[in-house]
Amino acid sequence: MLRLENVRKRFGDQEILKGIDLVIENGEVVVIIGPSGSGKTTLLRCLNFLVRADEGNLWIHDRKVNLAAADRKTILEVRRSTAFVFQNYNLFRNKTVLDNVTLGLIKGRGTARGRAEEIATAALEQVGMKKFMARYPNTLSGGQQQRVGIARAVALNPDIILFDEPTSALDPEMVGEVLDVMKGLAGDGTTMLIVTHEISFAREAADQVIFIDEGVVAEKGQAEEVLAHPREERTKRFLRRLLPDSAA
Amino acid sequence: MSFQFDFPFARRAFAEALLGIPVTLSVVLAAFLAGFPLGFLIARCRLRRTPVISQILTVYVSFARGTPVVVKILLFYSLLPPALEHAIRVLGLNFSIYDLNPIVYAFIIFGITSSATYSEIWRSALNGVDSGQYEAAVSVGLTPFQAYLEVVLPQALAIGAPAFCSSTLSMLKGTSVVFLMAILDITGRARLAAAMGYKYLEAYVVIFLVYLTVCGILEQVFKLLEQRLVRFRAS
Ligand SMILES: Nc1ncnc2c1ncn2[C@@H]1O[C@H](COP(=O)(O)OP(=O)(O)OP(=O)(O)O)[C@@H](O)[C@H]1O
Ligand SMILES: [Mg+2]
Repeated sequence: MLRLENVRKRFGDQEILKGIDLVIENGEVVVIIGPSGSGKTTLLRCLNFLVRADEGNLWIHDRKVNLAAADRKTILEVRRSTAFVFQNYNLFRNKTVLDNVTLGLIKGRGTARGRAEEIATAALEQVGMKKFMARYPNTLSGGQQQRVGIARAVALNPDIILFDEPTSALDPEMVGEVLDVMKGLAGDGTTMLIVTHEISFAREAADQVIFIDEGVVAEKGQAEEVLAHPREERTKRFLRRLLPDSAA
Repeated sequence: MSFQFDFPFARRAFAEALLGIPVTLSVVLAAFLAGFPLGFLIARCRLRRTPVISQILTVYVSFARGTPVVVKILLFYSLLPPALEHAIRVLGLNFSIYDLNPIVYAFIIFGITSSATYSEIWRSALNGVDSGQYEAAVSVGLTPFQAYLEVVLPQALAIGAPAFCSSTLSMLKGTSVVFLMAILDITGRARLAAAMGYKYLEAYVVIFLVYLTVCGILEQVFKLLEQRLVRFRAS
């Protein structure tokens, strides 16, 4: 189980996160939705210390980590038990596809190269990118890059994978291939926290949906419940704008 | 004035100038070995805006880049020896500064100049690496140092490579002024030959050709190095 408690963050005089609480069970897929600028990316980044929260706790492995005050060693440990899939992939440009996936294993976790390559090959196979192993990222399409990005996260076998709008930088025809990979992971019981605007994906793959608005959790619950029968007026408004022709 | 080009003399001057190549290259190499890592450190401090140090470095860089090397040589060469001599006397050391090979001054002056020039290249190269690259590296569990070493530095090197090469080549040409300190580099050797034979035109043509050749060869070497180093496109 992973738990976030009272996460707060301000940039300048703007309060972006106003005390977020959230619980994710092992094997659960949680989707975060919410309007642009509501703080979704900031929340994921706080969890991984890419942004330093002003306040808040993270429970991981029955261990309490202070997001505002964790030291270097703790930060490294948290990062080594989580993985991040970025909106614009952020594959290492100076490394081949294979090396992109093995880097964290070899340098971060001290896995022997041979073993790391076995793990990486399996992960690339899983996302259908094994035959591109020797290529450099800039020779791949966006969808292919993002699938490698997912393999890079999966290979680390983390407690949770954080996805920040993994398909929103993609051309429409490539969205499907990435979402299919993610559905596969959901089926395998991978714990995932996903920020996305893909409502039909959320309906299909998510256990829990959280609607964040202006830095607070405005509504949360079972995916079907929140997406099809939202209680809050602002959730309804947001979904209507996202799905103009749906009944919600 | 007769324009008789003395070929046998030119040939002798050429042989003489070739002897200066190792001296010229040693100044370039010393300046590179000092300036390249120093330049990186300067760039990092300035990019991180380390208080005080960053401001001092900004002043240092603009002084080092904003003054001609000739002026630095004239200034250093007349200021430094007496100052060092004084220091040595105060310390009671038995050593005459005037025994010091003037090439040491050349190392210092070009080390300073190149550290400033390289730091500017490092700065734009490091800036050119997308911050997402560093973030991805720490997100897979690398330490900040590892992230730099594995991901940020190689990409910055690739971005900066052409500028590093061309500034090193212009530094090589710039070292020709060290003859002012009686250093026998390419220019110094050829001028010495010229002075002895009173044949300046021949010597200058020789100098011209030697620099052209050395720079041409070095440029090719850099190109090969760059190709080996950078097997990916940085952006
Ligand atoms: N480093 C930063 N410095 C200052 N302001 C920031 C910084 N990062 C984010 N913000 C601000 O915080 C707010 C929330 O940003 P965030 O990226 O978390 O939103 P989001 O919910 O992910 O939006 P989107 O759906 O557009 O990705 C925005 O107003 C943004 O301008
Ligand atoms: Mg975002």
